[in-house]
Amino acid sequence: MLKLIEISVRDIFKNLSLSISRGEFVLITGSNGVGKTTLFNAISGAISVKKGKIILNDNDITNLPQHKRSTMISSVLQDPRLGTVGEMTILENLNISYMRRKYKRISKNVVDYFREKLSILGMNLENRLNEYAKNLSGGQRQLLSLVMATISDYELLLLDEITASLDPKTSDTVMEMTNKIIAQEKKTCFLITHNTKYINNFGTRTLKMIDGKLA
Amino acid sequence: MIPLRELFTSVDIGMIYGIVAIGIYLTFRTINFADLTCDGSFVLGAAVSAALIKYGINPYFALFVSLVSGGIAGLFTGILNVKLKISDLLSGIIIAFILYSINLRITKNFPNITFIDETTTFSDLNSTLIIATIALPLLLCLIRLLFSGFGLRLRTVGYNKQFAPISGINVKLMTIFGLMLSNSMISFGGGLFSQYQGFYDMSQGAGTLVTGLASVVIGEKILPFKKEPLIIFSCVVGSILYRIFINIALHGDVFGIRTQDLNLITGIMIIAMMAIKRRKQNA
Repeated sequence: MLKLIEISVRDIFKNLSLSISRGEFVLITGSNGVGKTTLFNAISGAISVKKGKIILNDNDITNLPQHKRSTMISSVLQDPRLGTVGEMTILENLNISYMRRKYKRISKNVVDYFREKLSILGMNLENRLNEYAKNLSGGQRQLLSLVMATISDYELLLLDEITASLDPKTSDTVMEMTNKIIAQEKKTCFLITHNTKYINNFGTRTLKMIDGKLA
Repeated sequence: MIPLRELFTSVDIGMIYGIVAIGIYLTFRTINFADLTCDGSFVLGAAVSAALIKYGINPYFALFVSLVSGGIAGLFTGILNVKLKISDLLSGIIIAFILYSINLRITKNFPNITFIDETTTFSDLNSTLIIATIALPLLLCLIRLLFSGFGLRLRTVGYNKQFAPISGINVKLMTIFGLMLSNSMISFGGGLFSQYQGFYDMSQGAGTLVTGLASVVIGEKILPFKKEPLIIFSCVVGSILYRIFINIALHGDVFGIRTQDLNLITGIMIIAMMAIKRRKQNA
């Protein structure tokens, strides 16, 4: 369960409260500049909140640095180039995410687990493990980013406008895959989007952000 | 023609500076940190090594202390950058500046020390063999480290600073580790170089950064390695080639080239090598 208790970030939003139950898939929508990404950054720990509390599954994570929060919170960024390391292979990218919670040895079984996870995408990435991530298309990289976010155990999945830099067809594929993975994982998910097309088809609840307030 | 003995000297110095080039590669490429501490940490290693040898300490132990001292210099550069938010360039410059005084303190205000009567690492055995014996295991350990989970995290910090924290990587800590590792290598190289030369001089560090970067660039252009940990090998090869270029330039008197033309000729040879490689890639 995620609870935001009267959090304030700069002048973007003040005393914002929100409660998301375990297993809920919440969509946050709103036009540009209303504070959606700031909210994402506040939850992920990329920016600190001036006041208020962030509670995740009864743990107060308000003052936890981003790298420590990432052991509980998985994030997929807007730009796939930022959510993956282009200069590393697909396998290395998956290794980094797999070791998010703690250092683990990458055995053959683990690589098989990676392959199994990638096979869900149906893009043959499981047979291209040694290829550099920079050689993948934007859509493929975003999907890889999604698999990376869900490859290690987590309590909350944060998705920040994951289709923003993709064409409409690829966006649909990415959203369908996202929905499929979330349905399988049954974890709490928080998706930020300004694409109204997805609001009716995805998520258990939709909240609209207007001038730093959720309605 | 370069005499064979001089060619071996180039290989020796090339291997020593190869260790330095690896250090520079670790900051400039691996963790993407423009660290200028190197001009100071190279001399620090040489000063520590010289002072300890003068005290009659085992030269191998002196090298180990050089390695550790460089790590400490890197730690302070890291603290300035990470904790005090001083930019990477300025953090390195400040520490290199401070090291000038510290190095003088270490050598009890002597600007140079000779090892005429002292035992150094190179006193008994063939120098090329000794350097290779020291450099190779160091290289293999470093490659192993960069291929490990730790190395993967270190490289991630250099490639993508936004992605690193969402992958559980403590960017600040990794930056400090990277700087410590890099300056340890540079300082170790400084210690080894002073023992090889048979003297310490406080101006030995001048141009360390340029030499190291030139070696990294030549190595990257010459060898086809794409996997980053293997590029470490390229740094050493690049450094040896750089030293051979210098040697060729020094023996160019038959073409009317004089000693003062050294930098000009070396520079032209490096440019030519890089241009040839680029044309091959485009063909």
